[in-house]
Amino acid sequence: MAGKNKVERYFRISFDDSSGNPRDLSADLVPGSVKAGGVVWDSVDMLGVSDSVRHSLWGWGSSPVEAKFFLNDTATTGAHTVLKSAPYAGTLTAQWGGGAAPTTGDPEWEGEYVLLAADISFDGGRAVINAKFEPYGSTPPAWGTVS
Amino acid sequence: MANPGKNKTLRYLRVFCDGANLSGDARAVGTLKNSCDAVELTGWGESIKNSTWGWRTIGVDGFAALINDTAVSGALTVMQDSGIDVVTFAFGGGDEPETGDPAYLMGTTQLQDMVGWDGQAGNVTANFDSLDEASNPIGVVLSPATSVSATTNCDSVDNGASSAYGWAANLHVIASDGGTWAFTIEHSSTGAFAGEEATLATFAADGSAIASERQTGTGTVEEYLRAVLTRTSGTVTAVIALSRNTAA
Repeated sequence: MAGKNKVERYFRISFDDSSGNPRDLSADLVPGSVKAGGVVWDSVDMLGVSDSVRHSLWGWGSSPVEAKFFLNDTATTGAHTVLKSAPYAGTLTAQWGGGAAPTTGDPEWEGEYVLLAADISFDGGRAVINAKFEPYGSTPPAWGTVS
Repeated sequence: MANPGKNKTLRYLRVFCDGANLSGDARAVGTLKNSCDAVELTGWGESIKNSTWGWRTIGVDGFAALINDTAVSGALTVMQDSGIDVVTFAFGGGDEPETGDPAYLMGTTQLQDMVGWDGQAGNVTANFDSLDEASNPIGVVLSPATSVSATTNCDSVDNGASSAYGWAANLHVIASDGGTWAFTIEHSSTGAFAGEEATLATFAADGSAIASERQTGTGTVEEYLRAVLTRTSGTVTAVIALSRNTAA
């Protein structure tokens, strides 16, 4: 449902396993840990000596994704089971549900990403995987809607 | 047998360094690294920077343990002089690590043995870098830290689809009464272990003394794995873990 109603409780994230099967990792996502969606554009400084105000043009964009997941070794679907094969590339999908689990029309960020890091650390006594993704391939990730 | 799930806490992390279980002295650990460099491949005609993976970094930062100078097994005794070669971290699921639980294992160069204070308690801190070409530190416990006095076929572990890129395995003999043992790892495509299995790894250590050993190998690793502890005499506690190399 459209509106000013996108809360973390109804965020969902999935990433392909190393065999290309999409896996919903939301149940293992540590609250407050995910940074996903959107682009940060390089600022290319165009200031000339005689200009009075700094001004810029945009350069290339960056769209990294970071998230912490519980080290869940449940067969097939646990985050550790899925992500332990790093590095590999797959489809990453992030969806924002409006007051409920994501449904048709809700915002979605999706694209091909490479899983570069799956470091393990302890957060509040819990074993967690620190996952880092970067866009992969020439087709950039993009905003869309849940279909 | 392992208890899989979202239940891996620091309380049940166990660490084996060479022939010692340092878990009783362990206080903290930083990051167990498993990451690759981002190699940017962006061309002028592309709008979003994109990357592939470069070299992998494996290692452990900030492992800290109490200054314990007990002979043979105390953390200071083991960690001083930066001589640790074989390290395995085992993640228990709500209990002591069991066969099938996740493990992080490496052959290592210990980079430091700095001494300091943690809440007025003396501690010693080590960083571990990877020593060999094994490409994946993420593995599985095949033999837990359980004392055995008879030939033991550890539980079979379904370790996922077979792989073709080789393997690495760590052995930590952390207790021995001087008896003689043989330590092997077997693999099977069916998991029956009824004669169809093959030996994947054979450790040279015979269990007659505290010891550690790391083995690596090439080629195929079948889906099912098990450790076998074959007794000639005595009682032993031997921790075994294995990781499969990845394509990258």
